[in-house]
Amino acid sequence: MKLVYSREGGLFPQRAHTEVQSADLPADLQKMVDKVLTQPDAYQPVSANSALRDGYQYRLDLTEGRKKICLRFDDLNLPDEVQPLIHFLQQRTGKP
Amino acid sequence: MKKHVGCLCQIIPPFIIDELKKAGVAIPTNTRTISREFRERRADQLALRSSQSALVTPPTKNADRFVYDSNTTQHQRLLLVRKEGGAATVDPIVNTVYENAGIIREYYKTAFNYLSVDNHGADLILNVHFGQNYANAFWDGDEMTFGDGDGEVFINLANALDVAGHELTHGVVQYTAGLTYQGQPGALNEHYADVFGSVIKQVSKKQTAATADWLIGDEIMGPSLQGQALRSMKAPGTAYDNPLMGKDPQPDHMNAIYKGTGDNGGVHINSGIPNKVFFLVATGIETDKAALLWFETLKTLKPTTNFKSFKTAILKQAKKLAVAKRVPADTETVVKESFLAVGL
Ligand SMILES: [Zn+2]
Repeated sequence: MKLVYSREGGLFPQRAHTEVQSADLPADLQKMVDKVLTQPDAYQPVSANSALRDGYQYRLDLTEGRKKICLRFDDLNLPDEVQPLIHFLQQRTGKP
Repeated sequence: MKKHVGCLCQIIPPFIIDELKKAGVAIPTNTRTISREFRERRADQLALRSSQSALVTPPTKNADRFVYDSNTTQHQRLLLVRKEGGAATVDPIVNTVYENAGIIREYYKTAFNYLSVDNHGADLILNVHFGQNYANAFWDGDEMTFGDGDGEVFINLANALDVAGHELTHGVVQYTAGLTYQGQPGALNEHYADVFGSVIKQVSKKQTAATADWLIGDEIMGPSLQGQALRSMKAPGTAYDNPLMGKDPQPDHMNAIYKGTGDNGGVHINSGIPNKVFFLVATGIETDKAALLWFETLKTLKPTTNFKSFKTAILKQAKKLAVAKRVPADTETVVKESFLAVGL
């Protein structure tokens, strides 16, 4: 499974981006990604905050065969369960 | 008063509370009760303000400060660690953000008789230690939130008065002009946040337009980026140039305006153009007079104001304030020349 991660926004304009195969993720994150792929609706954020200023927007695209999942979060609706994955991918981008 | 977007903060999930307890962090039950009461009280205030009765007798509060520790989670209003009038804590970040919010509140009150973000004395909610190595700060429609940074590229963002001033001013803009966060109106929104972040820093440091460095965020840069900043109002496009952040993309003239879709149409990029105008005007008439002109204009702007109509609005206020002898007589000329210098 291929993961494409990007983060935009923040106090200064910056785009962080990375792509990774799920097999290259740590075991616990692989499990997490499998869960997202099987139950994507459980991870869709309820709503975005249109009043957010300087916050980050996160985008996660998962592709396996013909199946494509696109998830978008911001700082206030990022599920706790997804945070370790985002943190890992953000570190991989090499951006602060 | 504009309709306000409700708070989207999460209730703390039980597993987070368990983790905090395991880590020895005590969460007093009354803290969570207070959090809930805040939300309910603010919802009541917002409902009242949008009703007819509020137009007659708007409720006024005291702009009390409440500092919360997110304890490196991405949860707001997690642990109340200091409130208005409360004793200093052992955490210097908590005390610094509390003091800085007090300086900003006092500035708006003294300079413009404007109380808190909404001019009705709304509580000032400040969250610190948000996220893990979170190198950012934001305003979310209700409150301010600051990350610790990674300690290398950025140090704690709650340390800097201009960053707190920037975020709180997003609240002021929300309750006044309500500038949309896209394209040129969005760049003006960012511009206003930078202007008052910088002005409040200058007032606090007793600087003038000539002695100020006009940098934003220079005090949050970590050891590896010393001497750089997030933005330069004096010389947009020169604040940083390094492999981690890239190169500062801000233009200082309309001939280099960013026309792409990134950053909500360049809200943090094209703000360089009005930022340069403010620097030039402040240099011509002094920072406090320029700040007065900008604040009085803010109250007249529409959510969709672009750079051209912003210039018209500033000139109109310059004339009005000069007649009232609240700014120098040559302000209109200085403003015209400053806008011309950036191609407007
Ligand atoms: Zn901003």
